[in-house]
Amino acid sequence: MKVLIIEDETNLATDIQSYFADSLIVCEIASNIRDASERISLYNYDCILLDLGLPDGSGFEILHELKTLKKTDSVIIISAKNSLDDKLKGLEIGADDYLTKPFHMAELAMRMMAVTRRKLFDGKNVVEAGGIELNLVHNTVKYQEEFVELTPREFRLLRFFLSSQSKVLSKTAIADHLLGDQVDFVDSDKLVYAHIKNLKKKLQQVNCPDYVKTIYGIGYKFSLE
Amino acid sequence: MKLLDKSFKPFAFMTIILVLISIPLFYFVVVYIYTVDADQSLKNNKLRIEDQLNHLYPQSKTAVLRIRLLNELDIGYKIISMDTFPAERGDRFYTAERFDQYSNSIRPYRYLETVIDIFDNEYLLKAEVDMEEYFDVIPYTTAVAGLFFFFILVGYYFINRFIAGRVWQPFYKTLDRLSRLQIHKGDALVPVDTDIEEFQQMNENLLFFTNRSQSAYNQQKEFTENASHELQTPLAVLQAKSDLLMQSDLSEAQYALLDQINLTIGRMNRLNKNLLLLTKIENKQFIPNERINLSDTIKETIDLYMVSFKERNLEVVDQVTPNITIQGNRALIETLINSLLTNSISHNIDGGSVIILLNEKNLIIKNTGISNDLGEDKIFKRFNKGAKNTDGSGLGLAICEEICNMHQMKITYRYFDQLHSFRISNIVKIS
Repeated sequence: MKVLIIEDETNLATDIQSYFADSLIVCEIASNIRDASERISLYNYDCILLDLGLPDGSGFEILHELKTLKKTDSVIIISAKNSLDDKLKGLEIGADDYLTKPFHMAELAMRMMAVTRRKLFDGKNVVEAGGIELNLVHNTVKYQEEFVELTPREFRLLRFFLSSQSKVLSKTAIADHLLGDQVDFVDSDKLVYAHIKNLKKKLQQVNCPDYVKTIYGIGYKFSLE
Repeated sequence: MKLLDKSFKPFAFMTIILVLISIPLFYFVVVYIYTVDADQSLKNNKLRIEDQLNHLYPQSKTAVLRIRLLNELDIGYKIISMDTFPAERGDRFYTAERFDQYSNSIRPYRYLETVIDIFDNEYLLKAEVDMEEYFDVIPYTTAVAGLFFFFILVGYYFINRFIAGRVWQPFYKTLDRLSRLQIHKGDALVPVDTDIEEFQQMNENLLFFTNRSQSAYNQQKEFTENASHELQTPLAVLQAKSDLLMQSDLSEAQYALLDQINLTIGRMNRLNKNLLLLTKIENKQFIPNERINLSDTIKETIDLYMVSFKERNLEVVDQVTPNITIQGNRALIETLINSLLTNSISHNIDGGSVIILLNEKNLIIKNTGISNDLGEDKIFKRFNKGAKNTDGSGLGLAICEEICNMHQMKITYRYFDQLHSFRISNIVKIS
């Protein structure tokens, strides 16, 4: 999968690049509008990560350009502003998602998977890993043809894990993903622990191997090994 | 004390002192004048009697008869032979009271005792003048004088009120405008038109200071907003590095350190978001025009935290009147409910309780907790932290208060019966 990161904070851009270096995601970096528009006119990307505040203009210009070029690249806006106006404007012009800085890499990975799943999974809305099948349209989970009843939060948790396989996910990243803005809460660790315990139990009941490993001190990792 | 009262008070004080001094002074002066007057007339009478008795009658015998007649008439003159009543020569004046049979009362008289010569015989003349009429005048005169002082006082009071009030009118107008000025709403001071130089000067100074505090306020707001935004990017870099580092093969202790870093980034992020949220509410960037079923919102939030309630063994008592719909901003109202509920969990004791009551007018959230009374006046202040609250941003309740203010609701805190109680009143139900 080819990703273009349009971000003037090169430090952040290269970190995103390195984070995905061991996966099938190949990242290119553009740090200004000129550079970015040159690239989008030459190549097709599966996903574009777009910062709005760029040194030579607003990221919205890129969105307009994509529209005039009739490109179908998925766009995720990554902005420092958590502004509803910007969000609505971005989504209206053609962005697929909006992520406010700072964000967890796992969250970014999940959003990227979500916006590109049509391309990644050949139009199928099913994610598969180690015999677990996640139907993203019907929100159902099967392990070797057997349905697993999950609560909405457990489903989101599993989807989160599947989008960042073999990556260590911190407790805070998981809490942020599950609780969103309600994470302003002291007991989030316990909440994460409780949800993971329940998810593991339910997967165990259908004889699914324990793919979710605890990484002591920091978090969890979904790994097929 | 009011300005006009301040200028009136010394005047009133002075007037009363003057009245108090003037009454005895007046009295003594009048008495003195009357006495001098009476003495003069007594002296005149003496001269007249002496003259008349000596020259009206050719013989001393007739004069003696007249003297007797005068004594018998008892009209204020007694002429006594010095043989029976020896006295020294010279005028002696004195005041004395005696009973008067005609008026049937004791009256004050002025007396003159003096020696007169009638046909070379020395007689003692005792003349008297009734002072009653004079003395009667004194209280009336005093009353009139007092009345005038009172009129002066009242007159000054009203002159002070109306004339001075008119002079000070621009001052009072300015004062009124100043006290109603809301800097945070972007009001500018409209100076009162006046031709008084001092007030013009005051207006200029006031304008200077209000404009300056206005721009300081705006700058502060802008600064908060910009600072928060500018912080987001380094935070994002920090978060990315931490996520990246996390993927390397680290020891458990290193992971634990990284976890602490993560938590701190999370806290900074929340603090930042809350600061921004506060600024946005203050900037009126949220419009309270949505219909919100408050009962449902509360119920959903309670459900959301059911796991946490169970985790802490908290007893939840909820008496939520169904279908209370209000008008407001959904995101903010959810933040409000969320904030109050999470507070009631995180500041609770294991095995404690949370009571949630909603009726047509009030929402009350009560919980048991570790610390004692948190002080109703400071609990809503920014960065005020409760005794055991270490992870919060210190802005949660400040945000709650702002949200309530924006929705014309009132939030109050009370510690009663070992329960921390938050009450949101003035809820306006819409149909």
